[in-house]
Amino acid sequence: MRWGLLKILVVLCLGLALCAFEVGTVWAVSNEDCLECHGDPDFSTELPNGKVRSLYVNPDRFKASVHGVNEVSCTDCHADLSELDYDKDVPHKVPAAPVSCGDCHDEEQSAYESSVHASFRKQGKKTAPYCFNCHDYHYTKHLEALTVEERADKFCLKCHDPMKIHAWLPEKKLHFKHVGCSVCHAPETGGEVALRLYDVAKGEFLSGEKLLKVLKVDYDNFAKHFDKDGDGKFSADELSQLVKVLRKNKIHAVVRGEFVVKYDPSLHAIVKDKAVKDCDACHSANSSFMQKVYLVVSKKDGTAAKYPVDNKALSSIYVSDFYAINANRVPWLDIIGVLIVLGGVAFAGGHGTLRLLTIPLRRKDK
Amino acid sequence: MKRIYLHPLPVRIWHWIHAACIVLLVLSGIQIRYADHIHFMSLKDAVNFHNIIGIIVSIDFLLWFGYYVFTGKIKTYFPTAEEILHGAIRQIRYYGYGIFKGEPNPFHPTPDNKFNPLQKGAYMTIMLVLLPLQIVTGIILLDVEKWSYIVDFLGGIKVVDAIHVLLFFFFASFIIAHFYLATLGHTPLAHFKAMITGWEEEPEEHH
Ligand code: HEC
Ligand code: HEC
Ligand code: HEC
Ligand code: HEC
Ligand code: HEC
Ligand code: HEC
Ligand code: HEC
Repeated sequence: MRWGLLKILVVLCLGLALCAFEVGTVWAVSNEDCLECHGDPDFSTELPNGKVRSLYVNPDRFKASVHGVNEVSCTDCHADLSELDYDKDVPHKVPAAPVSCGDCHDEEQSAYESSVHASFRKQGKKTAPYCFNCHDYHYTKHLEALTVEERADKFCLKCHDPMKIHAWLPEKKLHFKHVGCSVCHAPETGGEVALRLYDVAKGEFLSGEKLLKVLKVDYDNFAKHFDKDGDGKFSADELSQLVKVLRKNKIHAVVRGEFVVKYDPSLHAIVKDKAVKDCDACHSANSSFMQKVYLVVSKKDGTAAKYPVDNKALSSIYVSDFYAINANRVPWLDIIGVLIVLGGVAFAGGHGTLRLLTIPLRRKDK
Repeated sequence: MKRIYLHPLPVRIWHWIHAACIVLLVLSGIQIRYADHIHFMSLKDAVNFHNIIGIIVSIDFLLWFGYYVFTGKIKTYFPTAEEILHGAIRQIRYYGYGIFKGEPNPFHPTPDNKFNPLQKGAYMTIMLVLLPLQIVTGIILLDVEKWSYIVDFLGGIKVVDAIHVLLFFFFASFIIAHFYLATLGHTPLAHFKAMITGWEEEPEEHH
């Protein structure tokens, strides 16, 4: 009796699964279907104002995007276009419904809701960005490997000129090179220090690929290769060793530091009034941004390998292209300094004392 | 008493502007470097103040340099071979020994040759090497991005900063020593007076 019931259940399930499969093959539209028209580089439409709008989607670039790689299909985003009717000139409805990235990226969406941009949009300001005005949509890439400047260029600088604002901040260009916009503008997320190797001779960051090729190691063994004390973290000495090995291979690199925002959905809560403005938030030894430090090695797909670094290494002279006044002073400079000043004091004090003590001597002579 | 007109007016004005600026630069420099321990001024005010004074002192230095090169007075800073070989030793012996016994200073300033061999060596290094280096590194730090190619060449901002900071300690030490040495005239205040009135008094010597 029990076996009979089970058999029926199994058959039922198989049937259901088959049905589902059937429905899928019959109705679901594949990317190839869409690309039959939209994969043609010249595919475009003329707008009422006479301008031509390209409707081309580059299949190879789409396949290489994060969404392509993760098998997100055209109709996952263009959910309203999931049926094609070839009897019509245009086989789907036009205009298409706006794509809602937040359907999948719900954490980003909810952080975004509390951003200045969302509130400007709610007030009817259409130029304030939604997800895909900042990000690409078809060719979205991972962003972790981007440097602070690249991030600013690709995102905020499309619409804002930070040099015209922030009048209160000295050395603006320098700050914007070493501090990501979101570090200050998404203060709830928090930040960390990203150290990267900057090739001074070439004037560019050393890519992860090139670095590992020169060192003849892979991403997994890179840190172990230098981790002489086996604590799983880069120390100042280990960093200096890395720079020296590169120099032997004719690559003149310095270690540059940047404050970057943590790679977390909450970074989308961009604010204005609560943005970091206090110099001490960064320019102090216990700055919250200095607690976590990583050596960032880029990967080809836009992600990055992050190797932990002992945060004491920040005050080493070897992290030579990063000095946030006060926060990472080099300790031995201060010691030398005290000795220099004491030297002056000792000279004046010693000579002066001798002069006082020898007053009687000079009196006698006279 | 013999009176010599040692410091013409422009030199005195220059000296005191310079003195005030260096003291203010050292003080604001301390505030900038140790903002977490010293809370006299906000970092921002200290940076702005330091920048303004730094620009003033740089202009002051250029004026001085122009004046000294143009009038040929710059030569007073270059020691002669005799001074390097013998004068310096004479002077060291005096400061290290003779002065305590009340011996007369072996060096007698004249308006054209007002520095003793040790002063020449020290001031030449300071005015023609260390101060210019401090001004150059200061100007780089004023707008690091503008000079990024130099900064990169030197190895990064921390290197430039280290040079600037070591010189800052040197100048702090120099102020102390300089102030003390200024009390070594024939009376403790003689040199100070001279730097105000221009006239240095020298005791008459009996040969
Ligand atoms: C037979 C050709 C053809 C196929 C197949 C096709 N489209 Fe289109 N599509 C068009 C044409 C033509 C337009 C331009 C309509 C216009 O502007 O009037 C268009 C426009 C669009 C637009 C822009 C709509 C707007 O709001 O302006 C999107 C988005 C789009 N297609 C997505 C898709 C997706 C997704 C698929 C696959 C599910 C697909 N298309 C399949 C022909 C096609
Ligand atoms: C990650 C989500 C996403 C995926 C996946 C996606 N699209 Fe889009 N697509 C968008 C967004 C967002 C827009 C821009 C809508 C706007 O500007 O209002 C867009 C616009 C378009 C347009 C209008 C022309 C243009 O480039 O602005 C076409 C055509 C189109 N998509 C076709 C496709 C096809 C074909 C595929 C599959 C190969 C696809 N899309 C996959 C999000 C996506
Ligand atoms: C159908 C679900 C879906 C939709 C809709 C969607 N995405 Fe994605 N998205 C994904 C998946 C899956 C990944 C890969 C996740 C991963 O690698 O952790 C991804 C990754 C990303 C990444 C890279 C994240 C990283 O770790 O670097 C970005 C940026 C991104 N999406 C932006 C968008 C934007 C902008 C839109 C709207 C135009 C959008 N997504 C719409 C599913 C979606
Ligand atoms: C696609 C254009 C666009 C991009 C990209 C963009 N913004 Fe905006 N942003 C706007 C618009 C439009 C406003 C509305 C106020 C205005 O018109 O200036 C705005 C407003 C703001 C405000 C509030 C200004 C105020 O007056 O209250 C801040 C802060 C801000 N953006 C920061 C950023 C940051 C940080 C980034 C990068 C992560 C960024 N924005 C990217 C267009 C953009
Ligand atoms: C050191 C922290 C910091 C950094 C880095 C920073 N900002 Fe700001 N930003 C602020 C603060 C604080 C405000 C608040 C307004 C004010 O008082 O100036 C602000 C204001 C703004 C505004 C609004 C200006 C207005 O119209 O009132 C925009 C837009 C903006 N920032 C964009 C950017 C962009 C783009 C970047 C990256 C290149 C950036 N910010 C980097 C701290 C920062
Ligand atoms: C104002 C510009 C802007 C808008 C609007 C925006 N993003 Fe982003 N997004 C960024 C930036 C900049 C980063 C990379 C942050 C960094 O590391 O500096 C990022 C990172 C991401 C990431 C990877 C990090 C993570 O895990 O969250 C995803 C996924 C993403 N965005 C999706 C979205 C989605 C979905 C939306 C809409 C709800 C959206 N973004 C809206 C600027 C924006
Ligand atoms: C969000 C963090 C942050 C805030 C807030 C911030 N700074 Fe900075 N600042 C930095 C970093 C990081 C550097 C290091 C740049 C480098 O390594 O080249 C820097 C560099 C500087 C420099 C140049 C460093 C040098 O050695 O000459 C000055 C000056 C400076 N900051 C002053 C200020 C002042 C004043 C404020 C407040 C009005 C301020 N900063 C606020 C992070 C910050």
